[in-house]
Amino acid sequence: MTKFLETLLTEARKRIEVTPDELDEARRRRGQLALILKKEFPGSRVYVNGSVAHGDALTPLTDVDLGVVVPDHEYGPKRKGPVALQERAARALRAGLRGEFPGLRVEWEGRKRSILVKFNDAVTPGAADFTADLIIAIDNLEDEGLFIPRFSCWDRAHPEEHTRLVKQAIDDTKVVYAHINRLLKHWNRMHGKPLVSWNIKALALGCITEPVTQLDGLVMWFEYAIAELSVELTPDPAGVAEKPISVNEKLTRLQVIDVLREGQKRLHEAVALEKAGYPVLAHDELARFFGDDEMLPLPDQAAVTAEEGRKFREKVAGVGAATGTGLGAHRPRIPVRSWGE
Amino acid sequence: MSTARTALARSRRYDARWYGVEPYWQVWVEAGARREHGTRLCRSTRLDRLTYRVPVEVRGRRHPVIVRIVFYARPEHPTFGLPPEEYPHVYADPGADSPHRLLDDALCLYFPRSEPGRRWTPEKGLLALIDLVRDHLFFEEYWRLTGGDRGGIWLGEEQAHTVSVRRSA
Repeated sequence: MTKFLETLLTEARKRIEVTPDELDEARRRRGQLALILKKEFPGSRVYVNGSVAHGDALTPLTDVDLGVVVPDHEYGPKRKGPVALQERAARALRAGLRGEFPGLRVEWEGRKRSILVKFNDAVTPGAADFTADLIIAIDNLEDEGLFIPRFSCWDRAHPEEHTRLVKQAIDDTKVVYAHINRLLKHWNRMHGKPLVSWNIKALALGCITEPVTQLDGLVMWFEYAIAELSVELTPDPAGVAEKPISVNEKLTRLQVIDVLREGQKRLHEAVALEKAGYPVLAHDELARFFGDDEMLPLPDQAAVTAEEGRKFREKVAGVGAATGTGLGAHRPRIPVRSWGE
Repeated sequence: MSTARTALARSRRYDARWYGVEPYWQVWVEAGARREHGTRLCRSTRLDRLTYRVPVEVRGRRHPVIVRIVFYARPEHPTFGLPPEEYPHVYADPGADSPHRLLDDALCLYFPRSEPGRRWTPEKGLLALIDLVRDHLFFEEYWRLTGGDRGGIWLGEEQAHTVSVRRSA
Protein backbone atom coordinates (compact mmCIF):
# COMPACT_ATOMS: atom_id res chain seq x y z
CA MET A 1 0.00 0.00 0.00
CA THR A 2 2.83 2.43 0.68
CA LYS A 3 5.04 1.55 -2.28
CA PHE A 4 4.71 4.98 -3.87
CA LEU A 5 6.08 6.80 -0.82
CA GLU A 6 8.79 4.15 -0.47
CA THR A 7 9.87 4.84 -4.04
CA LEU A 8 9.93 8.57 -3.37
CA LEU A 9 12.07 7.98 -0.29
CA THR A 10 14.56 5.88 -2.24
CA GLU A 11 14.88 8.54 -4.95
CA ALA A 12 15.22 11.27 -2.34
CA ARG A 13 17.81 9.32 -0.38
CA LYS A 14 19.96 8.87 -3.46
CA ARG A 15 20.04 12.63 -3.95
CA ILE A 16 21.57 13.18 -0.52
CA GLU A 17 23.89 10.18 -0.40
CA VAL A 18 27.61 10.81 -0.38
CA THR A 19 29.11 10.18 -3.82
CA PRO A 20 31.76 7.52 -4.46
CA ASP A 21 34.30 10.25 -5.28
CA GLU A 22 33.65 12.03 -2.00
CA LEU A 23 33.95 8.79 -0.07
CA ASP A 24 37.17 7.79 -1.81
CA GLU A 25 38.82 11.12 -1.09
CA ALA A 26 37.62 11.16 2.53
CA ARG A 27 38.99 7.66 3.07
CA ARG A 28 42.27 8.59 1.40
CA ARG A 29 42.77 11.52 3.72
CA ARG A 30 41.72 9.46 6.72
CA GLY A 31 44.32 6.89 5.70
CA GLN A 32 46.99 9.58 5.55
CA LEU A 33 46.12 10.71 9.05
CA ALA A 34 46.25 7.13 10.30
CA LEU A 35 49.70 6.51 8.78
CA ILE A 36 51.16 9.66 10.28
CA LEU A 37 49.80 8.89 13.75
CA LYS A 38 50.81 5.23 13.75
CA LYS A 39 54.33 6.36 12.91
CA GLU A 40 54.28 8.99 15.65
CA PHE A 41 52.90 6.53 18.22
CA PRO A 42 54.49 3.12 17.55
CA GLY A 43 52.29 0.21 18.63
CA SER A 44 49.11 2.28 18.46
CA ARG A 45 45.94 1.11 16.78
CA VAL A 46 43.48 3.14 14.78
CA TYR A 47 39.68 2.94 14.90
CA VAL A 48 37.11 4.56 12.65
CA ASN A 49 33.71 5.97 13.54
CA GLY A 50 31.29 8.65 12.35
CA SER A 51 29.22 8.76 9.20
CA VAL A 52 31.90 7.55 6.77
CA ALA A 53 32.56 4.48 8.90
CA HIS A 54 28.88 3.91 9.66
CA GLY A 55 27.72 4.07 6.06
CA ASP A 56 25.33 7.01 6.44
CA ALA A 57 27.33 9.95 5.16
CA LEU A 58 25.51 12.73 3.33
CA THR A 59 26.58 14.98 0.50
CA PRO A 60 28.24 17.45 0.68
CA LEU A 61 30.72 15.47 2.75
CA THR A 62 32.41 17.87 5.14
CA ASP A 63 34.21 15.75 7.69
CA VAL A 64 35.62 12.36 8.67
CA ASP A 65 36.23 10.85 12.10
CA LEU A 66 39.16 8.86 13.36
CA GLY A 67 40.62 7.69 16.64
CA VAL A 68 44.05 6.44 17.60
CA VAL A 69 44.59 4.38 20.73
CA VAL A 70 48.02 5.10 22.13
CA PRO A 71 49.65 2.33 24.20
CA ASP A 72 51.26 4.57 26.79
CA HIS A 73 50.43 3.68 30.36
CA GLU A 74 51.83 6.92 31.70
CA TYR A 75 48.58 8.52 30.61
CA GLY A 76 45.12 8.13 32.11
CA PRO A 77 42.92 9.22 35.02
CA LYS A 78 45.07 10.02 38.06
CA ARG A 79 48.08 9.95 35.75
CA LYS A 80 49.00 12.28 32.89
CA GLY A 81 46.29 14.17 30.99
CA PRO A 82 45.89 14.12 27.21
CA VAL A 83 47.47 17.49 26.43
CA ALA A 84 50.99 16.28 25.68
CA LEU A 85 49.70 13.49 23.44
CA GLN A 86 47.49 15.92 21.55
CA GLU A 87 50.37 18.33 21.11
CA ARG A 88 52.58 15.57 19.66
CA ALA A 89 49.80 14.42 17.34
CA ALA A 90 49.15 17.96 16.11
CA ARG A 91 52.83 18.54 15.40
CA ALA A 92 53.14 15.27 13.48
CA LEU A 93 50.03 16.02 11.42
CA ARG A 94 51.23 19.49 10.50
CA ALA A 95 54.57 18.15 9.40
CA GLY A 96 53.08 15.22 7.51
CA LEU A 97 50.28 17.00 5.64
CA ARG A 98 51.47 20.54 4.93
CA GLY A 99 53.10 19.46 1.72
CA GLU A 100 49.84 18.38 0.11
CA PHE A 101 47.61 20.85 1.99
CA PRO A 102 49.45 24.17 2.33
CA GLY A 103 46.47 25.83 4.02
CA LEU A 104 46.26 23.10 6.69
CA ARG A 105 45.28 24.13 10.22
CA VAL A 106 45.41 21.79 13.20
CA GLU A 107 43.55 22.94 16.31
CA TRP A 108 43.44 21.22 19.68
CA GLU A 109 44.05 23.81 22.42
CA GLY A 110 40.88 24.65 24.30
CA ARG A 111 38.86 21.96 22.55
CA LYS A 112 36.89 19.54 24.67
CA ARG A 113 37.68 16.25 23.00
CA SER A 114 39.16 16.13 19.57
CA ILE A 115 41.92 17.52 17.47
CA LEU A 116 40.36 19.38 14.56
CA VAL A 117 42.22 19.13 11.28
CA LYS A 118 41.12 21.76 8.76
CA PHE A 119 42.39 20.86 5.32
CA ASN A 120 41.38 24.15 3.69
CA ASP A 121 40.56 22.01 0.66
CA ALA A 122 36.99 20.78 0.31
CA VAL A 123 36.26 17.25 -0.84
CA THR A 124 32.95 18.32 -2.40
CA PRO A 125 33.22 21.13 -4.98
CA GLY A 126 31.56 24.22 -3.61
CA ALA A 127 31.63 23.11 0.02
CA ALA A 128 33.30 25.35 2.58
CA ASP A 129 36.06 22.96 3.66
CA PHE A 130 36.79 19.41 4.75
CA THR A 131 37.85 18.60 8.29
CA ALA A 132 38.84 15.59 10.35
CA ASP A 133 37.90 15.05 13.97
CA LEU A 134 40.66 13.08 15.59
CA ILE A 135 40.53 11.54 19.06
CA ILE A 136 43.68 10.54 20.90
CA ALA A 137 42.55 7.72 23.19
CA ILE A 138 44.11 5.29 25.62
CA ASP A 139 42.98 1.84 26.67
CA ASN A 140 41.02 1.38 29.86
CA LEU A 141 42.98 -1.44 31.46
CA GLU A 142 40.48 -2.00 34.26
CA ASP A 143 37.17 -1.91 32.47
CA GLU A 144 35.52 -1.87 29.06
CA GLY A 145 36.22 0.76 26.48
CA LEU A 146 38.69 3.59 26.26
CA PHE A 147 39.54 6.89 27.86
CA ILE A 148 39.10 9.87 25.58
CA PRO A 149 40.03 13.50 26.30
CA ARG A 150 37.77 15.93 28.09
CA PHE A 151 39.85 19.09 28.05
CA SER A 152 42.84 18.18 30.24
CA CYS A 153 41.18 15.15 31.82
CA TRP A 154 39.78 11.84 30.61
CA ASP A 155 36.28 10.45 30.10
CA ARG A 156 35.24 6.86 29.61
CA ALA A 157 33.82 5.98 26.19
CA HIS A 158 33.63 3.05 23.82
CA PRO A 159 33.64 4.34 20.23
CA GLU A 160 34.89 1.01 18.92
CA GLU A 161 31.83 -0.69 20.35
CA HIS A 162 29.64 2.02 18.79
CA THR A 163 31.00 1.18 15.35
CA ARG A 164 30.54 -2.54 16.01
CA LEU A 165 26.92 -2.00 17.07
CA VAL A 166 26.20 0.07 13.99
CA LYS A 167 27.76 -2.46 11.64
CA GLN A 168 25.79 -5.24 13.33
CA ALA A 169 22.58 -3.25 12.88
CA ILE A 170 23.38 -2.74 9.21
CA ASP A 171 23.80 -6.51 8.81
CA ASP A 172 20.70 -7.38 10.83
CA THR A 173 18.51 -5.00 8.84
CA LYS A 174 20.03 -5.69 5.42
CA VAL A 175 21.34 -2.11 5.20
CA VAL A 176 18.02 -0.38 5.78
CA TYR A 177 19.31 0.84 9.18
CA ALA A 178 21.85 3.01 7.32
CA HIS A 179 19.25 4.15 4.80
CA ILE A 180 16.86 5.28 7.51
CA ASN A 181 19.62 7.09 9.39
CA ARG A 182 20.55 8.97 6.23
CA LEU A 183 16.99 10.17 5.81
CA LEU A 184 16.72 11.07 9.48
CA LYS A 185 20.00 12.97 9.45
CA HIS A 186 18.77 15.01 6.52
CA TRP A 187 15.45 15.71 8.22
CA ASN A 188 17.46 16.69 11.30
CA ARG A 189 19.66 19.15 9.44
CA MET A 190 16.66 20.74 7.73
CA HIS A 191 14.95 21.30 11.08
CA GLY A 192 17.61 23.02 13.12
CA LYS A 193 19.53 19.90 14.19
CA PRO A 194 17.62 19.18 17.42
CA LEU A 195 19.73 16.03 17.84
CA VAL A 196 23.36 15.20 17.14
CA SER A 197 23.87 12.51 14.49
CA TRP A 198 25.05 9.95 17.00
CA ASN A 199 21.83 10.39 19.02
CA ILE A 200 19.80 9.59 15.89
CA LYS A 201 21.78 6.40 15.38
CA ALA A 202 21.71 5.44 19.06
CA LEU A 203 17.92 5.71 19.09
CA ALA A 204 17.72 3.76 15.85
CA LEU A 205 19.72 0.94 17.46
CA GLY A 206 16.81 0.58 19.86
CA CYS A 207 14.04 0.30 17.29
CA ILE A 208 15.37 -0.59 13.84
CA THR A 209 16.42 -4.16 14.52
CA GLU A 210 15.20 -6.08 11.48
CA PRO A 211 14.55 -5.41 7.80
CA VAL A 212 11.69 -2.96 7.32
CA THR A 213 10.76 -0.44 4.67
CA GLN A 214 12.30 2.99 4.95
CA LEU A 215 8.86 4.47 5.55
CA ASP A 216 8.01 2.05 8.33
CA GLY A 217 11.44 2.63 9.83
CA LEU A 218 10.93 6.39 9.91
CA VAL A 219 7.54 5.99 11.57
CA MET A 220 8.98 3.56 14.13
CA TRP A 221 11.95 5.82 14.85
CA PHE A 222 9.82 8.90 15.56
CA GLU A 223 7.52 6.98 17.83
CA TYR A 224 10.46 5.44 19.70
CA ALA A 225 12.48 8.66 19.89
CA ILE A 226 9.57 10.65 21.31
CA ALA A 227 8.76 7.94 23.86
CA GLU A 228 12.39 7.59 24.98
CA LEU A 229 13.21 11.30 25.12
CA SER A 230 9.99 11.93 27.03
CA VAL A 231 11.58 9.97 29.87
CA GLU A 232 15.27 10.82 29.65
CA LEU A 233 18.19 11.73 27.41
CA THR A 234 19.58 8.79 25.43
CA PRO A 235 22.10 6.72 27.39
CA ASP A 236 25.30 5.42 25.78
CA PRO A 237 24.38 2.29 23.76
CA ALA A 238 27.73 0.76 24.74
CA GLY A 239 26.84 1.25 28.41
CA VAL A 240 30.18 2.87 29.16
CA ALA A 241 29.94 6.67 29.05
CA GLU A 242 28.71 8.09 32.33
CA LYS A 243 26.68 10.89 30.81
CA PRO A 244 23.85 10.48 28.30
CA ILE A 245 23.97 11.97 24.81
CA SER A 246 23.14 15.67 24.90
CA VAL A 247 20.57 17.27 22.62
CA ASN A 248 21.20 20.54 20.76
CA GLU A 249 22.54 22.83 23.47
CA LYS A 250 20.19 25.64 22.39
CA LEU A 251 17.11 23.51 23.05
CA THR A 252 15.61 21.79 26.07
CA ARG A 253 14.69 18.12 25.89
CA LEU A 254 11.00 19.10 25.75
CA GLN A 255 11.61 21.51 22.88
CA VAL A 256 13.35 18.73 20.99
CA ILE A 257 10.31 16.52 21.57
CA ASP A 258 8.09 19.27 20.15
CA VAL A 259 10.18 19.35 16.98
CA LEU A 260 9.97 15.57 16.73
CA ARG A 261 6.20 15.64 17.20
CA GLU A 262 5.81 18.11 14.32
CA GLY A 263 7.77 15.78 12.09
CA GLN A 264 5.84 12.75 13.26
CA LYS A 265 2.54 14.49 12.50
CA ARG A 266 3.51 15.06 8.89
CA LEU A 267 4.81 11.54 8.47
CA HIS A 268 1.60 10.03 9.82
CA GLU A 269 -0.42 12.28 7.55
CA ALA A 270 1.60 11.19 4.50
CA VAL A 271 1.09 7.52 5.33
CA ALA A 272 -2.63 7.98 5.97
CA LEU A 273 -3.12 9.88 2.71
CA GLU A 274 -1.43 7.21 0.66
CA LYS A 275 -3.43 4.46 2.34
CA ALA A 276 -6.64 6.39 1.67
CA GLY A 277 -5.83 6.65 -2.04
CA TYR A 278 -4.51 10.22 -2.36
CA PRO A 279 -0.95 9.76 -3.69
CA VAL A 280 -0.41 13.38 -4.76
CA LEU A 281 -1.37 14.64 -1.32
CA ALA A 282 0.83 11.97 0.28
CA HIS A 283 3.74 13.10 -1.89
CA ASP A 284 3.06 16.73 -0.92
CA GLU A 285 3.05 15.87 2.76
CA LEU A 286 6.24 13.80 2.57
CA ALA A 287 8.01 16.58 0.69
CA ARG A 288 6.95 19.06 3.38
CA PHE A 289 8.18 16.59 6.02
CA PHE A 290 11.72 16.98 4.68
CA GLY A 291 11.34 20.65 3.70
CA ASP A 292 14.03 20.43 0.99
CA ASP A 293 12.87 21.03 -2.57
CA GLU A 294 16.15 19.72 -4.00
CA MET A 295 16.03 16.46 -2.13
CA LEU A 296 12.30 15.80 -2.57
CA PRO A 297 10.50 18.43 -4.66
CA LEU A 298 6.89 19.32 -4.00
CA PRO A 299 4.47 17.92 -6.56
CA ASP A 300 2.67 20.26 -8.93
CA GLN A 301 0.49 22.36 -6.67
CA ALA A 302 -2.42 22.52 -9.11
CA ALA A 303 -2.51 18.72 -8.94
CA VAL A 304 -2.48 18.97 -5.15
CA THR A 305 -5.41 21.38 -5.25
CA ALA A 306 -7.33 19.09 -7.57
CA GLU A 307 -6.75 16.02 -5.42
CA GLU A 308 -7.59 17.85 -2.20
CA GLY A 309 -10.81 18.96 -3.87
CA ARG A 310 -11.59 15.35 -4.81
CA LYS A 311 -10.85 14.24 -1.23
CA PHE A 312 -13.10 16.96 0.17
CA ARG A 313 -16.00 16.05 -2.10
CA GLU A 314 -15.60 12.34 -1.38
CA LYS A 315 -15.58 12.96 2.37
CA VAL A 316 -18.62 15.23 2.22
CA ALA A 317 -20.49 12.76 0.05
CA GLY A 318 -19.56 9.84 2.29
CA VAL A 319 -19.95 11.31 5.75
CA GLY A 320 -22.39 14.15 5.18
CA ALA A 321 -20.83 16.13 8.00
CA ALA A 322 -18.75 19.26 7.95
CA THR A 323 -15.22 18.35 7.04
CA GLY A 324 -12.03 20.31 6.61
CA THR A 325 -8.96 20.60 4.42
CA GLY A 326 -5.26 20.20 4.94
CA LEU A 327 -3.50 19.27 8.15
CA GLY A 328 -6.20 19.46 10.79
CA ALA A 329 -8.88 18.23 8.41
CA HIS A 330 -9.73 15.65 11.03
CA ARG A 331 -10.91 18.33 13.44
CA PRO A 332 -14.67 18.93 13.36
CA ARG A 333 -15.73 22.01 11.42
CA ILE A 334 -18.43 24.55 12.04
CA PRO A 335 -20.93 24.05 9.18
CA VAL A 336 -20.71 27.63 7.91
CA ARG A 337 -22.06 29.18 4.74
CA SER A 338 -19.88 31.65 2.90
CA TRP A 339 -21.39 34.75 1.42
CA GLY A 340 -20.35 38.20 0.28
CA GLU A 341 -21.58 41.75 0.58
CA MET B 1 -16.91 73.21 29.79
CA SER B 2 -20.75 73.01 29.80
CA THR B 3 -22.59 70.06 31.28
CA ALA B 4 -23.69 68.90 27.84
CA ARG B 5 -20.20 69.06 26.44
CA THR B 6 -18.83 67.19 29.46
CA ALA B 7 -21.41 64.45 29.03
CA LEU B 8 -20.58 64.19 25.36
CA ALA B 9 -16.86 64.05 26.09
CA ARG B 10 -17.43 61.34 28.68
CA SER B 11 -19.54 59.23 26.35
CA ARG B 12 -16.79 59.34 23.79
CA ARG B 13 -14.02 58.65 26.25
CA TYR B 14 -12.47 55.37 25.37
CA ASP B 15 -13.28 52.54 27.81
CA ALA B 16 -10.07 50.55 28.17
CA ARG B 17 -11.97 47.50 29.32
CA TRP B 18 -13.16 45.42 26.39
CA TYR B 19 -13.26 41.73 25.62
CA GLY B 20 -9.95 41.64 23.74
CA VAL B 21 -7.89 42.60 26.79
CA GLU B 22 -9.67 40.34 29.25
CA PRO B 23 -7.59 37.43 30.58
CA TYR B 24 -10.35 34.93 29.82
CA TRP B 25 -10.10 35.84 26.14
CA GLN B 26 -6.38 35.65 25.88
CA VAL B 27 -6.14 32.37 27.77
CA TRP B 28 -9.36 30.54 27.05
CA VAL B 29 -10.16 31.56 23.48
CA GLU B 30 -6.54 31.25 22.36
CA ALA B 31 -5.66 28.01 24.14
CA GLY B 32 -6.27 25.52 21.34
CA ALA B 33 -4.67 27.77 18.73
CA ARG B 34 -1.58 28.21 20.90
CA ARG B 35 -1.20 24.45 21.27
CA GLU B 36 -1.52 23.92 17.53
CA HIS B 37 0.42 26.87 16.16
CA GLY B 38 2.78 27.61 19.02
CA THR B 39 5.01 30.64 18.60
CA ARG B 40 3.92 31.02 14.98
CA LEU B 41 0.73 32.61 16.34
CA CYS B 42 1.52 36.26 17.12
CA ARG B 43 -0.77 38.60 18.97
CA SER B 44 -0.66 42.36 19.16
CA THR B 45 -3.00 44.46 21.25
CA ARG B 46 -3.86 48.10 20.79
CA LEU B 47 -6.35 50.23 22.67
CA ASP B 48 -9.19 49.35 20.35
CA ARG B 49 -8.18 46.18 18.53
CA LEU B 50 -6.61 42.79 18.95
CA THR B 51 -4.76 41.38 15.98
CA TYR B 52 -3.55 37.84 15.43
CA ARG B 53 -1.07 36.93 12.72
CA VAL B 54 -0.38 33.34 11.85
CA PRO B 55 1.08 31.56 8.81
CA VAL B 56 -1.42 28.94 7.67
CA GLU B 57 -0.65 26.04 5.39
CA VAL B 58 -3.19 25.75 2.62
CA ARG B 59 -3.21 22.73 0.32
CA GLY B 60 -2.06 23.68 -3.12
CA ARG B 61 0.00 26.63 -1.92
CA ARG B 62 3.76 26.25 -1.87
CA HIS B 63 4.27 28.55 1.05
CA PRO B 64 2.14 29.24 4.12
CA VAL B 65 -0.35 32.08 3.72
CA ILE B 66 -0.11 34.87 6.28
CA VAL B 67 -3.50 35.34 7.92
CA ARG B 68 -4.45 38.41 9.92
CA ILE B 69 -7.44 38.20 12.25
CA VAL B 70 -8.62 41.51 13.71
CA PHE B 71 -11.03 41.81 16.62
CA TYR B 72 -12.31 45.33 17.26
CA ALA B 73 -13.56 46.88 20.46
CA ARG B 74 -15.94 49.04 18.44
CA PRO B 75 -15.88 47.94 14.80
CA GLU B 76 -16.41 50.56 12.17
CA HIS B 77 -17.50 47.85 9.73
CA PRO B 78 -21.03 46.40 9.83
CA THR B 79 -21.50 43.49 12.21
CA PHE B 80 -25.07 42.73 11.15
CA GLY B 81 -26.40 42.70 14.67
CA LEU B 82 -23.67 40.51 16.09
CA PRO B 83 -21.56 41.60 19.06
CA PRO B 84 -18.07 42.71 17.95
CA GLU B 85 -16.34 39.65 19.37
CA GLU B 86 -18.42 37.39 17.12
CA TYR B 87 -17.55 39.16 13.88
CA PRO B 88 -13.83 39.72 13.48
CA HIS B 89 -12.42 40.63 10.12
CA VAL B 90 -9.96 38.18 8.62
CA TYR B 91 -7.50 39.12 5.89
CA ALA B 92 -5.27 37.00 3.67
CA ASP B 93 -4.09 37.04 0.05
CA PRO B 94 -4.89 40.72 -0.45
CA GLY B 95 -6.81 41.40 -3.66
CA ALA B 96 -7.14 37.75 -4.68
CA ASP B 97 -10.09 36.81 -6.88
CA SER B 98 -12.85 35.28 -4.83
CA PRO B 99 -16.64 35.11 -4.84
CA HIS B 100 -16.71 35.42 -1.07
CA ARG B 101 -15.03 38.52 0.22
CA LEU B 102 -16.37 41.54 2.03
CA LEU B 103 -16.09 45.09 0.71
CA ASP B 104 -12.83 45.69 2.56
CA ASP B 105 -11.34 42.45 1.15
CA ALA B 106 -11.90 40.54 4.41
CA LEU B 107 -12.77 36.90 3.93
CA CYS B 108 -16.44 36.14 4.17
CA LEU B 109 -16.18 33.10 6.39
CA TYR B 110 -19.76 32.78 7.54
CA PHE B 111 -23.17 34.31 7.00
CA PRO B 112 -23.70 36.61 9.99
CA ARG B 113 -27.43 35.89 10.20
CA SER B 114 -26.84 32.16 10.67
CA GLU B 115 -27.81 30.54 13.93
CA PRO B 116 -24.88 30.24 16.38
CA GLY B 117 -24.28 26.60 15.43
CA ARG B 118 -23.50 27.67 11.87
CA ARG B 119 -21.12 30.55 12.52
CA TRP B 120 -18.05 31.16 14.63
CA THR B 121 -18.45 32.32 18.22
CA PRO B 122 -15.65 32.87 20.72
CA GLU B 123 -16.43 29.82 22.85
CA LYS B 124 -15.56 27.65 19.86
CA GLY B 125 -11.99 28.92 20.14
CA LEU B 126 -9.56 30.68 17.87
CA LEU B 127 -8.33 27.35 16.47
CA ALA B 128 -11.74 26.65 14.97
CA LEU B 129 -11.68 30.09 13.33
CA ILE B 130 -8.22 29.48 11.87
CA ASP B 131 -9.42 26.11 10.55
CA LEU B 132 -12.31 27.92 8.79
CA VAL B 133 -9.81 30.35 7.29
CA ARG B 134 -7.66 27.49 5.98
CA ASP B 135 -10.69 25.88 4.38
CA HIS B 136 -11.88 29.20 2.91
CA LEU B 137 -8.49 29.93 1.35
CA PHE B 138 -8.44 26.43 -0.12
CA PHE B 139 -11.95 26.87 -1.50
CA GLU B 140 -10.80 30.14 -3.14
CA GLU B 141 -7.81 28.32 -4.66
CA TYR B 142 -10.03 25.52 -5.95
CA TRP B 143 -12.58 28.01 -7.32
CA ARG B 144 -9.84 29.80 -9.26
CA LEU B 145 -8.40 26.47 -10.53
CA THR B 146 -11.81 25.32 -11.78
CA GLY B 147 -12.52 28.50 -13.73
CA GLY B 148 -13.12 31.30 -11.25
CA ASP B 149 -15.67 33.78 -12.61
CA ARG B 150 -16.28 31.48 -15.55
CA GLY B 151 -17.99 28.68 -13.70
CA GLY B 152 -15.50 27.99 -10.92
CA ILE B 153 -16.66 25.54 -8.26
CA TRP B 154 -17.01 26.66 -4.64
CA LEU B 155 -16.62 23.53 -2.51
CA GLY B 156 -18.12 24.90 0.69
CA GLU B 157 -21.70 25.77 1.45
CA GLU B 158 -22.86 29.16 0.27
CA GLN B 159 -25.51 31.60 1.42
CA ALA B 160 -27.59 33.04 -1.41
CA HIS B 161 -26.60 36.64 -2.03
CA THR B 162 -30.22 37.67 -2.47
CA VAL B 163 -30.81 37.33 1.28
CA SER B 164 -30.90 40.85 2.67
CA VAL B 165 -29.37 41.64 5.99
CA ARG B 166 -30.02 44.75 8.01
CA ARG B 167 -26.76 46.40 8.78
CA SER B 168 -26.16 47.66 12.26
CA ALA B 169 -25.60 51.38 12.69
